[in-house]
Amino acid sequence: MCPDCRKHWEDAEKIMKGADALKEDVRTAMTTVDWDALSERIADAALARPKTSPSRAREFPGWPRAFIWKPAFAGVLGGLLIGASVTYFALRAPNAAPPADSEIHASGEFIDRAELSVAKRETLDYLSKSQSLLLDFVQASPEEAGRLLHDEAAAGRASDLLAKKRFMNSHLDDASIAKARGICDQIERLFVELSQISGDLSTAEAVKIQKYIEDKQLLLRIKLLRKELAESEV
Amino acid sequence: MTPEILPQAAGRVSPDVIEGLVRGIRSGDREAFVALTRLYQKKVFILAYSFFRNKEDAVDLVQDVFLRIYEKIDSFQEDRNFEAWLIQVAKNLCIDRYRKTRGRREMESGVRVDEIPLPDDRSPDAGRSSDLKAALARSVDRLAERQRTIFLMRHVNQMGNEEIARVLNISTGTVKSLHFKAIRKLRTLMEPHIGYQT
Repeated sequence: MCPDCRKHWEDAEKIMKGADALKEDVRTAMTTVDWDALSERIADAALARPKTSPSRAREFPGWPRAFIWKPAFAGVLGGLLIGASVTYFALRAPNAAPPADSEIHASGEFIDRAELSVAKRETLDYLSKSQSLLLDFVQASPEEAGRLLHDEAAAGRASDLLAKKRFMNSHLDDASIAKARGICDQIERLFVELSQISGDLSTAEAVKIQKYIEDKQLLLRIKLLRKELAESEV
Repeated sequence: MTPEILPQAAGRVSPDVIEGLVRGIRSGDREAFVALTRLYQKKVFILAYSFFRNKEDAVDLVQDVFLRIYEKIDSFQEDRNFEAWLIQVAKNLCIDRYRKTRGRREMESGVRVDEIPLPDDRSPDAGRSSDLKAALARSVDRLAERQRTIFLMRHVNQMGNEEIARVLNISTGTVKSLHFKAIRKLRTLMEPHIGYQT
């Protein structure tokens, strides 16, 4: 890739990263809205208003609306259509060549590639943070692992990862990183389970979860996937 | 922080359920209207917030959208995709309101949005991601209307090209083309900032 293209690519990636930061703002704002109260308030306001009557277009479904509502407007529109058709046929070159493919198609692919690159980096970041959290859990004694769930920092990391996964879901549909979806989904399910446990985790339960992580070879699979994604990025 | 951020569930609701809710609303069933609002209010909020970056304006817009939907529900044609119709109404109201608030901002400050400088890219703090976000937000304001709408729908609302094309009633190719132009324009607008970061 030439230096100019590389620069262009990197800039596009940064812009899309910036857009991710905008999403973070939305996410924060959404947590401060009382959604149930909002829908009730809207319903109250709506029921206090009259509904508009069904349009005449529904009475005459086959008729263009302009002809039903505004005959003058329809006349002008008809005139314009006839004028445009006449102009088109009068000026059309007899053997006009089909338009060449514009650069936009190639550029669209370029942006798609840049998006994919951002998605890979997001996935790598998610895997790296998940690996770190799971390692803390697996390497702790069962008693410590049980307490870890109630550690504020660890719980914050887990809920951040759950939120991040939500935002990543659309990226993971891309065929070239579809392999990551399976393991990311598995990690997500584990974090969801852990986040739903209230009270202290018993030693037996902690051991069971540690064993699950080991049996599924989650840490090894994360490591291999990270390596694979990192290599495909080069 | 709750993981329930994006209204993914709304996308999975079957057309039959939506049809039932629409019929319920037409016959004056309040609960049907509340249910429909709950299904889609977050999606509308995300779109509105991406336009205004202000919670109060976004909430007001959510209210306006659903009131409009309620008023117009009788004219909704059942062979249409309800969600596409709803987002189209939301998009139109966002653009109307955006034009008004943009005009108001310009009147209050005495300068056009286009003339407001981006953050000083060469300040000691310029490399921070919050600066990149602020610069991007200001640059998005400078995009042409359709480019801005498509950029926000794609990157903040996480809508696919086909979905955007359906809502805006244009071809997927046009969506891709306008998206590319938006990125190219943003790159130009943010060049000093991005350049400093590398």
